[in-house]
Amino acid sequence: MGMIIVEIKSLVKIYKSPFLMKKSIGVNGLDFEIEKGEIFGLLGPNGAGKTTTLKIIGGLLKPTSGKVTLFGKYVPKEARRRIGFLPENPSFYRHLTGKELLQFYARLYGKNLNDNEIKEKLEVVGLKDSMGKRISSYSKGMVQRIGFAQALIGDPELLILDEPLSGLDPIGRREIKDLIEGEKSKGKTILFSSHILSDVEAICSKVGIILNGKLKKVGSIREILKSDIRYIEIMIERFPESGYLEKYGEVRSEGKVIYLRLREETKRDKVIKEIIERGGKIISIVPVRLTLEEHFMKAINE
Amino acid sequence: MNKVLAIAQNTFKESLRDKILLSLVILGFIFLASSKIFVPISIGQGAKIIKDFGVSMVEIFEVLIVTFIGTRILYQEIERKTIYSIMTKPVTDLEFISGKFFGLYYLIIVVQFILFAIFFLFTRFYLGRVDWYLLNVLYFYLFEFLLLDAVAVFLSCFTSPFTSGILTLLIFFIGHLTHYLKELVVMMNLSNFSWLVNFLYFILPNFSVFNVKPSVVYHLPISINSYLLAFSYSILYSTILILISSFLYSKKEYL
Amino acid sequence: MKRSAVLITLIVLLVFVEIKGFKWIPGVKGEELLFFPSGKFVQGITSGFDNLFADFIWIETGVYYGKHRMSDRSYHYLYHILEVLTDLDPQFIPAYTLGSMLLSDDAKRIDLGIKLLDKGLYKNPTYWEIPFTKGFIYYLYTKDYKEASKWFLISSYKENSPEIALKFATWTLSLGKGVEVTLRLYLQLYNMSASKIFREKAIKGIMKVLRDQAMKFQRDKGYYPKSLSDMVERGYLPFIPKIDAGQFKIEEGKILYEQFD
Repeated sequence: MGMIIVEIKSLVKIYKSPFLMKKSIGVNGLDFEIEKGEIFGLLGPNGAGKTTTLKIIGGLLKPTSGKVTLFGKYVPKEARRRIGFLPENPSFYRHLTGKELLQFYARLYGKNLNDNEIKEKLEVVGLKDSMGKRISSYSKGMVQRIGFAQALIGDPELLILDEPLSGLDPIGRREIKDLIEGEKSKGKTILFSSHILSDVEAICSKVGIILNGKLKKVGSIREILKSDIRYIEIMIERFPESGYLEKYGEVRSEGKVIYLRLREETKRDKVIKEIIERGGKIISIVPVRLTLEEHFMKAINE
Repeated sequence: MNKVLAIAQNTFKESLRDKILLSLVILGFIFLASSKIFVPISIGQGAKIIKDFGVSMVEIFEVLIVTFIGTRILYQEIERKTIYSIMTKPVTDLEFISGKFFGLYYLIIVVQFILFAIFFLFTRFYLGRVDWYLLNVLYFYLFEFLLLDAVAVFLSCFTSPFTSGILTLLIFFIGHLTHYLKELVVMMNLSNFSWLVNFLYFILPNFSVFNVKPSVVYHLPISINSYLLAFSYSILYSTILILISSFLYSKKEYL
Repeated sequence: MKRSAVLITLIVLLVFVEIKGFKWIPGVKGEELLFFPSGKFVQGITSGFDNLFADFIWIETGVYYGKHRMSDRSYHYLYHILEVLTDLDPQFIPAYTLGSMLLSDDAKRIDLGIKLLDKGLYKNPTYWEIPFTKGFIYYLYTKDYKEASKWFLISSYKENSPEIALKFATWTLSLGKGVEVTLRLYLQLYNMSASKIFREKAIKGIMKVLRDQAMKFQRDKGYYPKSLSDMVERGYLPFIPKIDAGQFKIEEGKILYEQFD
């Protein structure tokens, strides 16, 4: 497809503690590529190596071995002008107002922004009304949004977002997801990490599952998730012949409602058709997938 | 330069909100005011003691500010995780370190002017007139603390704020002593120690270069060469320290 | 690479400034001790570091003494410094003993030397060194043998005092023993302290006694003594003074002190 923006080859990061003579592995042989315009989600539990990977790409950490190529040729430090970075649980200078903070970061790109330009930038993240307030008075969601704004301030081609949705309430999550999708529609390449499957599912075009510093799976979200459907739960009301369905899977009834766990996905259409033909009313059809934990258990066993 | 200035201004604003700064300035005020109580026991040397005390107190409080605030300005960025959003912007290590260095210097200058203003008010109040010759001290302090600022930034590149605070204080005091030790070695013919003293004298920052307190209190002439020495020594030494600091900092990783 | 070139250039410049410029370090010449505050004042502000400050002042004393010994030989502020020092650290015995010697001998202020020793006696009644030094000063500088004998006797009563203190008390009173007592006093002075200033003073004192006696010898006999044992045989010297660091001898009509390696 498009141009390769991020290319990572056999990336290894080992943390050494000089006093304790201890070593711990951050990432252990990662390989992946991100193409222009892609939203790549790095998915994994805490401590899997997500933050390590993003920090190496952002130039905050140096790889022990392996290669990181950004924009085809640059080493991370020189690519800084073209990336925007949102750290995990970001924190900013509490004594500054939202406006001052963005002006400060803009100056680090050598740009002096006037009030109107700052307003525009803050409007994107919905903080226009709070621009005169100190960061110390911001809620967690607002801090995350101002973090988003500072990552965007240099108009980067690549956005690196470390756990942008963690610790937010449902409304906050929705807002950040909208922001990410907004940037996607502008053609930006986005790399972000999360430990929550549904977030990745909702936003990403491509996903990498990371565990113990190793990438277990890389692929489009559909490919990965399709194989992971455990069963389809069909909720039926007013179905007269409950015994009939047992050949398709486990049946459980609660009052008038019957739940069917359909193991074979291929038979889904056939079963639905039969239920309707026999006078049943289908309330919902939910594909139940492996939870992330189950998925990792599976990955470990592989 | 705009980037360095941005970081410097931000550092200055941040340190203004430090509670230590406020308490130090208040303490400085109280100490300057209390110089009056030494007058009765000074056997006719009241004016001298107020001046001695004033110029020394300004110096001591500036040293305390560098040790308590200066050694934390780098550490705070890491501790509060604000460094992540700086080092992922197109900012070089030299720009970052210089920004922090000038931010602290900005603070030092402001505090120095405030303390001197208070001190001059007191001399006006206690002695009935302002001794403008004391302004010479201001010039030498500006370069003395430029150097101490660089020492503090340099040390905090590789040690914790506590350690670098202690080391900064030590270097300040040893740096004031080496000139004196050197005289001592020559005088007493202690050739066994001369290599050590020479090492300290030429390698460690030599703060005697900036010590004009006695000359100023007694209105003795200060050679133009002493002004030039203070200027060139401080600027050269600080630049070297900042360059080395930025080199050390470029090896740093932000966990 | 470029950065290290800049760095090296700057370091070279700095070294240049240090070598050429350090002679311009501001300092007050001749007026230095005007800046020295009074003892009570210092005591107020040293806040618990009195002894440390006293040590610094002790070093300052040496610097002050050395500096003026090499230049104008005037020791105007010597007493003042010692006064401050002993205010800060009243147990600093060498400040009294060595200090009073410097005051009496170099500054020719025997009164101040005695005053300092009296202060020392008051603060440290148990040390034998202080009354001993007092006897010493009375004997050598004011030639008040009765006072000297009294203080040597007092010294001999103190704890750990050397046996010789009592002997000095009697010797100082017997007129014929002048040379012997002086020599023994200087030898005692030499052994009392490891201080270089003290030892040099003792050696100089001994040399002076030897020189005076040799002159006397020459006047009486018509020729300069060939050796120190020559002087002992003829009764001009009670014994040949011996110290561990060197030896005294006569060579080509001159009294010499030869230091051992």
